[in-house]
Amino acid sequence: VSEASPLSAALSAPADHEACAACGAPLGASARYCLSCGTRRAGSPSTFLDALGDPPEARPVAVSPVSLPQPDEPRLWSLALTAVVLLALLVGLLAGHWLGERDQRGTATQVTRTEGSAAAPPTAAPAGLGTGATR
Amino acid sequence: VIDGAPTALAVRRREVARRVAALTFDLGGLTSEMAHAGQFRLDVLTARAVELREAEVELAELDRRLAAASPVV
Repeated sequence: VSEASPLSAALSAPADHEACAACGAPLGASARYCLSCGTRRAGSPSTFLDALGDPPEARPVAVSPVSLPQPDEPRLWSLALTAVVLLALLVGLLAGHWLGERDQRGTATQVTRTEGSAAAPPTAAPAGLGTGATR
Repeated sequence: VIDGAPTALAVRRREVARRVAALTFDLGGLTSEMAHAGQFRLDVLTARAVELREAEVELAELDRRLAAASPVV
């Protein structure tokens, strides 16, 4: 489609006697794939098998949790458990916040009472008490 | 690791997993070769990608059936 790169000559130039086994298109001298149909050249090594490591017969069959298209039962259970834990956490936070606020309100009332008897703020208290507090 | 999974399913899964690996390898190799040659054939790449996707879907289905047959402990 686009301009040919410097390597294109080596890859796409027809070889002397080699053609694609699937479509018959001419293959480049060093081409591993037919650029017309995408078929791997016959006899081209599949080096990915070496990268996989052990032969598949010796490897245990493992279930990939990534590509399951439908949510199965264990996943639903874990979701439900997570939701319950989050809900409990939220309730605990709200209860803690409410209790803390109540305690703070009680403490504030006490402080006000204490301050009211000893020293009230000058703006809110009568003039007599205000001067008494500054003493 | 699945213990006691149906043998036929496990064997089939191994075949499909190898096929997915081979198709992934080939799609990457083909794309690389097209890039080197400066000749991108999107129809060819798309056809290969569809083939790979179908194999991946089959692998996922086999995984699901194997997991349903013998849950992972």
